Amino acid sequence: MNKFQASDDLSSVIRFDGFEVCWAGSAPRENALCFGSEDGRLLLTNESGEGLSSPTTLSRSGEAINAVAWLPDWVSVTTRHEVNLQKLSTGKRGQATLPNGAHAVVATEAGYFVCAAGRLGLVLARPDPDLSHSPFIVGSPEENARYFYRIINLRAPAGGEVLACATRKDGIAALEFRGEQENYSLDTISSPGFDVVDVCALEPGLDSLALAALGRDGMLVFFRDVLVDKHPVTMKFKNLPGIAYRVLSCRGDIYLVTSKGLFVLGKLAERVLQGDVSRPTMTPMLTLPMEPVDANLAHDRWLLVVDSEQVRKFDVGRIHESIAAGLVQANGVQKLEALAEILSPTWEARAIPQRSNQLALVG
Amino acid sequence: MQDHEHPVPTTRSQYRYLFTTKHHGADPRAAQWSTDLTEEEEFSVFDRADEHELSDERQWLYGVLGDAEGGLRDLGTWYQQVAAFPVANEGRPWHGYPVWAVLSPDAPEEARGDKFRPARQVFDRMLAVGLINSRQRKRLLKGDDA
Repeated sequence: MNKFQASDDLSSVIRFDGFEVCWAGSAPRENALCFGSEDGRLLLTNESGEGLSSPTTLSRSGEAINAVAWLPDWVSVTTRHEVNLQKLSTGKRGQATLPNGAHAVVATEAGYFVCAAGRLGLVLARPDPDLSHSPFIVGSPEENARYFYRIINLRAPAGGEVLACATRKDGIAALEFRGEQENYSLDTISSPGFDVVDVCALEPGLDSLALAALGRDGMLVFFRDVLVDKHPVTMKFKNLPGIAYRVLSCRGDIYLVTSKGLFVLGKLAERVLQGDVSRPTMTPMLTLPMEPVDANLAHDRWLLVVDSEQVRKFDVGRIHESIAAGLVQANGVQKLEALAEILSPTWEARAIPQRSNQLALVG
Repeated sequence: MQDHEHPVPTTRSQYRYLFTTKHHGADPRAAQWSTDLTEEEEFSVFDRADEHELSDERQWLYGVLGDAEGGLRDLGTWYQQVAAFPVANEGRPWHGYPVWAVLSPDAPEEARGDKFRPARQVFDRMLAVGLINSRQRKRLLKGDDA
């Protein structure tokens, strides 16, 4: 497989012949990267994009991969058609397919894959060598149904895991996760017109329930504790074009990905965590015009942005240093100061009972 | 509302179009058209699907509707941005409904067959005729909001 790579000071370009990338992220080897294709294959590479093995078909339906998550001996790959579980080592039976599509998947410390499966709810599967544990759905009756679009898992400072979800116009939902139970409680917070399309940890890798949520219109909402805050800091940056897709946080900076480009908001996460965002202040912003399809962080070192033709690998360390020092040298990059309007929307918080139901495996 | 036909057929094939109560609130298990969408807008999705022959191997038609900001409108009540129009029997009007972005086991109409709909080739055709761009094509293929 041929690979094309070009670079400037902040980023390099990765492209593969015969492998149309639609998802990119990290793989569980040191500095390894993972790419998902339009036809359901997965490719692992080193940090330079050189293949570590041949691409493997992991989507049983051959659909485009939209998310990947890893447990010590398993990988889960989701598409709009199904959820695939694949054992990494050879030996016992090690493949299963769930009969629902999903938008996103995460792996929990308790050994579960948890999928954001749209109107179906959350779909949880704990793979084991015999695949003897049935996957199950956590959801609520139709009148309280939510649309689960994105999911992350957070580690609480006091211990335990919290699953936090973007549930579109039903806002942000959080669930304290203690493994398989019959009943759960989903804490939700929403505001009229706020269409939440993504969530991210503000302190990734740390025991923290601090979270950022992104509205489709670019509105940003920050929680220092997603289970406690009922009046989160809410802001919207002026002149930030495009339909918002992703929000990511790394080294105290916020990365905002829209249909029109990548926007790096210098030290914004750091300021939120310090409580320094109560009034409008200028935020240093890098603007990189492009047409992203998706983006993910990898190994706290890179931001991988997939566009319609290639993957751009940004060095988040260099971006962080550059934005702090006011030094940016890369083609097409603009450095600006951006002013955010601090908003005070009406928030509604609810606790919604959820029940779990078994889900049959396919094949 | 009762089932009723659009007053004029499609421009290209002269297909008649039926607005169905099932997909306008009567059946909570069925996919529902967004109440933000007018009947003219719903028909325009179908008319354009016919105009550009956005069909799969079953001859079903599929459509999208652009918005003023360069994105796609939500056509359904659950953020669906693509609509499907199952092929109608000879002499009968067509009807349509929004397609779930990701497959749900309790969505019987879309679970038929062994592949999720619409197929990749439908999105390729939408790209070729300029209804979507290459970024939107990739996002729709993934089930993402476009």
